[in-house]
Amino acid sequence: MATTLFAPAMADVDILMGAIGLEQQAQYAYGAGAKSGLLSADVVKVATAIADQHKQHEAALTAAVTKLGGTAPKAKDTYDLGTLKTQEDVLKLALMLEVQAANAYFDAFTKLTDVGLKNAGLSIMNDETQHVAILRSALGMDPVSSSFMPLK
Amino acid sequence: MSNVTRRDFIKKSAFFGGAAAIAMATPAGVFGFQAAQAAAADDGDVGLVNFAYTLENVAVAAYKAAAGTNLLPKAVLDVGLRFAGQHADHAAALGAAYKQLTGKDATPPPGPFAFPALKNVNDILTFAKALEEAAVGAYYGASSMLKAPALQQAITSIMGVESMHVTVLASALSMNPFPTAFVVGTPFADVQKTATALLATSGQAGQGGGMPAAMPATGMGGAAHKDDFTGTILGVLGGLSAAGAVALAMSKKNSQSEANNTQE
Repeated sequence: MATTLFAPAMADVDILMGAIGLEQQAQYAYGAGAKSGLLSADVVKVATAIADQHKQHEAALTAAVTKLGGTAPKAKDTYDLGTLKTQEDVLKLALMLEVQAANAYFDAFTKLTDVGLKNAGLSIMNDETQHVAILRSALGMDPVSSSFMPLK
Repeated sequence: MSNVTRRDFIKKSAFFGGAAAIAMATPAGVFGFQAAQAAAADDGDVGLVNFAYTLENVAVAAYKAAAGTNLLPKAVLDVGLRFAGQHADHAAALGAAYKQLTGKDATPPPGPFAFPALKNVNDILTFAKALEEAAVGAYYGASSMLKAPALQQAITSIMGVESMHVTVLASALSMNPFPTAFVVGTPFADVQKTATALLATSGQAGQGGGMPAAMPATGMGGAAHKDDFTGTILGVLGGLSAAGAVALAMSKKNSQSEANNTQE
């Protein structure tokens, strides 16, 4: 798992754009999972709730990009999610994306220059790690497997 | 630190400034600490690291106190001891950072602490959740106060894990485990008050003492509110009681480790 997703010299706005991309991908993945017919009704509800939080993250990041004079990227029409045949496949994909996102925000903290953006990123990171714990629980895994970030 | 009074300790722990000038030791190793980064640290950083070290030690003590009540079912006890171990990891890392910054060993808070009455499982989980939320809030606040990038990274590295603890404990309390998209923990000033309240006791702390007045009102003591969504997610976690679900996850940990490795 790559934990250094943002190059050292990236401008704040570029880091935010990268984060928006991750949030869009996550929403797509949860949406695809929900529509796949592979998930139980209860898991669909949880996936939808998590996707809504990613939507909130995207909105906040988009507002920040706009404030910086940038234009937030549009979501792609499709993302390659691999082959999803079971609920477990969907949950594992979601877990992988959440770990990636949590680590990306962890990485972004030292690269962002604006304190407000740093704080926003951390508050989102903390939410992504909570998603990780929930997904790991749902997969029957130890919900908190490490004492430190980045997560594996 | 070994000779300071408790008042001084708390004062320093709460980093109200004025920490004694401390010679910088040659740093190496912890959190990838490099000399140039340590040079960026100042007395405020030392106070923050010490405060974090204190919080982690209090957390370890709290989980041990909870375990000592004999009120916890084994499954919940196992989770608590696991979290205590992670807090001990945090304390060790922060203690090492403190030593690198000051050349001195960090001194664990002496205790005993003014923990609230822990009369049942709900009390224990509620208190643990409040402590974890306080840790998230403390580190969230500290992250932008620290000067040394390596220390910022260390604090945020720990914070993300504390946030996971909050979620597991919320689940165990039959509460929504991820109620907000932006997780900042307990406000920093409240954490300071709480820390002071917990530390400012002498021999009669603990059982039956009630909740310290400054305890953040983050659902403390209230009956768990289980709405429809929460019921749903608890169902996702195995159709068991939430604590049972967590325990299930824990018990499966070893058998799943192979799968984890594959997945990771």
